[in-house]
Amino acid sequence: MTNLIPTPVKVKLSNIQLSQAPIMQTNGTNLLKNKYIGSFMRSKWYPGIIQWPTLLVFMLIMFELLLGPSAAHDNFGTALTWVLWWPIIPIMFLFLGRFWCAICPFATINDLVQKFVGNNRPVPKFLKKYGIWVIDALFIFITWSDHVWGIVENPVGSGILLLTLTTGVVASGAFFERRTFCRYVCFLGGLSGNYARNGMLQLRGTPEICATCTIASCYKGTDKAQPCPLFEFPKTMTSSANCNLCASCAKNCPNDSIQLTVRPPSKELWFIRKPKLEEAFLSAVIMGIVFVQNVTMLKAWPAMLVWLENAAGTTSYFVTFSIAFLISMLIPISLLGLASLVAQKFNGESLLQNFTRFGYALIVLDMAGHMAHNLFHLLAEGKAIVFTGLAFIGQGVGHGLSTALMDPAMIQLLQFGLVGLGFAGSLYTAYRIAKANYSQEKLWGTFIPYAVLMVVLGIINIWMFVLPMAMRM
Amino acid sequence: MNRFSQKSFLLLTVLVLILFVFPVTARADGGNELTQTVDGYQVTVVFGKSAAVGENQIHVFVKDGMNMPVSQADLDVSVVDLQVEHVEVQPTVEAETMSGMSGMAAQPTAEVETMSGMSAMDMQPTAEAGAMSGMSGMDEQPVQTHAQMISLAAGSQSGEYDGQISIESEGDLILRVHITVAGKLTEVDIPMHVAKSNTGPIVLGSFFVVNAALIAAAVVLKPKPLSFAGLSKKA
Repeated sequence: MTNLIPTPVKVKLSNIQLSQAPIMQTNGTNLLKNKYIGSFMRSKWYPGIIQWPTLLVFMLIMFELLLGPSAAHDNFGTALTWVLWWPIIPIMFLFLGRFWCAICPFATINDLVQKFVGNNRPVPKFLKKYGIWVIDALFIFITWSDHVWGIVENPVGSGILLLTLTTGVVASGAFFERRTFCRYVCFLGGLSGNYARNGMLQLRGTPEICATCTIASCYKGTDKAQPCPLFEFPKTMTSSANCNLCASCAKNCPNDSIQLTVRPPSKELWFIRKPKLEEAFLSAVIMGIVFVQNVTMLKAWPAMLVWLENAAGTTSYFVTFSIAFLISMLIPISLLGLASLVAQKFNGESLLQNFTRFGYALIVLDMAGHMAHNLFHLLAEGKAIVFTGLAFIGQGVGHGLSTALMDPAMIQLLQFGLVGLGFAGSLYTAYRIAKANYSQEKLWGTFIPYAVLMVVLGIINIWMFVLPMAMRM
Repeated sequence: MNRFSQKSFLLLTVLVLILFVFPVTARADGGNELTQTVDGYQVTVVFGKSAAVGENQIHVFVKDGMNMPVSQADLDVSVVDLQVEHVEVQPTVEAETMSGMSGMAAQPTAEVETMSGMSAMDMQPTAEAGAMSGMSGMDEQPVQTHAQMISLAAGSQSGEYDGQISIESEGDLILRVHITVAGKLTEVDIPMHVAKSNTGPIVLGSFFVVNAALIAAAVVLKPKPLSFAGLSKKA
């Protein structure tokens, strides 16, 4: 397997982003000590053995989206992208953290371009400072444009989205070091970073071993493997948001310090010592996006549009959808703001501090809502992958046949179960955040407004899953 | 931020803007007007842009036999694939006998009204009742959906109705306008042709050029490694 990453560049230790948060002690079984997992992840074949087939599938998808059938329901690329990949990816984030980013075809293209023509310039300061805001803005823009220009329902539109991302990684790989695009620009990277905090895998350095280390080969890279592509330094890592489990650090570490452990979902969210407003904002935005995705697929959506048209005095979908989109985004943001306003009366911190600290609690419900929404597409339209796949190889079947993999009532039950788990997870996370940051007398006054917030958001989610939903294909 | 970073981001921003504008400009090539008269109703459909695969803004103007605008009607439209309808629905004798009105083919009106989101052409007598809705209610079995029945809202002029329809495939299609006036339904079928889009290859080509330019720029700007020969000359 060809090593795509260029020879490690010299890095000043002063450039390494050190977190001020205390290092969380790792506990549990180190999966890297398992002879099968450890030897596989440390082998030269990993992650390439998964990365390259993924790139081939990506190329097939691009071919089909741009040159295949123009109708989404006949297009194999659309089925693979929006019925299979998009629903599966949040499930992957839960169980494997940001592993997708290790095998993502865009990252492979980045590495490929970098290997041959990479200028390896440092990450622009602007991106280091405002990267998450860029991701927030891109995520909002792409969701909005999906509805206005019909990206999902139009294979060429989906192709343009993927090609735009490709152009982004080509530019990043050509001019900047490592995976600058993935860390600071990619909207999916931002989403996966947030979700990976709730993930069940945790990679860290062993504090006692790392304390005596002076070579930082995990960060700088060695002949054995590339440096950390996402600019992480296991010695000081306190979050899994930017670890894609590529295992380069494990390959590079001469002291066998790296540990990969299993942890309960959401645990990382309980102890975020240095919360960031832009990450909390992204959590609220994701909830808004889940609302938008659900609302526009409801049977009641056309009636809502007519009402909006009458209220706005225009039939322009551009205008009416933008209004609906703005409202959907503002609901979770303003509700989180309202809960923070109440909580500040009890804990004495500012609205912004409360918003930032407790925004992370939304991540669990975000993820559950996201999974529940996409579960419908995966299970109610799953056979479309088979039908369009057969059509792709010239076997025309499927017209008039059900695309469902599961009984709709069962799908709905699973959706309710997921939202219920997400609600419980968010509620508990809010409690743990309050407990970790405030004294006993401030604890309940701080927690209750956020508990009410979770109840309201949980009810909204459940309500949307009760209503009939339209298909993606 | 240094000059290189500023220039790089300016370039990237411009490229992204160009690429996002592209799908809009690719379709903006003039208007399209279709007229049909059935049972005294003259129906004129005006597309905002040429009919194309994807979302299309339409304006429907309805006039009665006296050439007066009909403003009190309920209008729904659906897009029907002509070829598939002939192939799949014509043999459905049962469906023909169910239909009180003969549209372009056997299309039971009562069922059309309830099957929003599903193409008429896929409807067969053997299909499950639940399969008739593209809006898959949770008590219904979903199927691959093809067309949607869209309700149009009253427009700014008397007798004008506006809305957005989704065309999912190219070729010969029928735009079926369902006019309900005082409880009486009239269907007006308007044949139209949606040309095969060559957007895909153009998009692919455009992106190829942009990416090739980026890679070429990277090659040119790549810092050259210092050579010992050069250093010794300078010394």
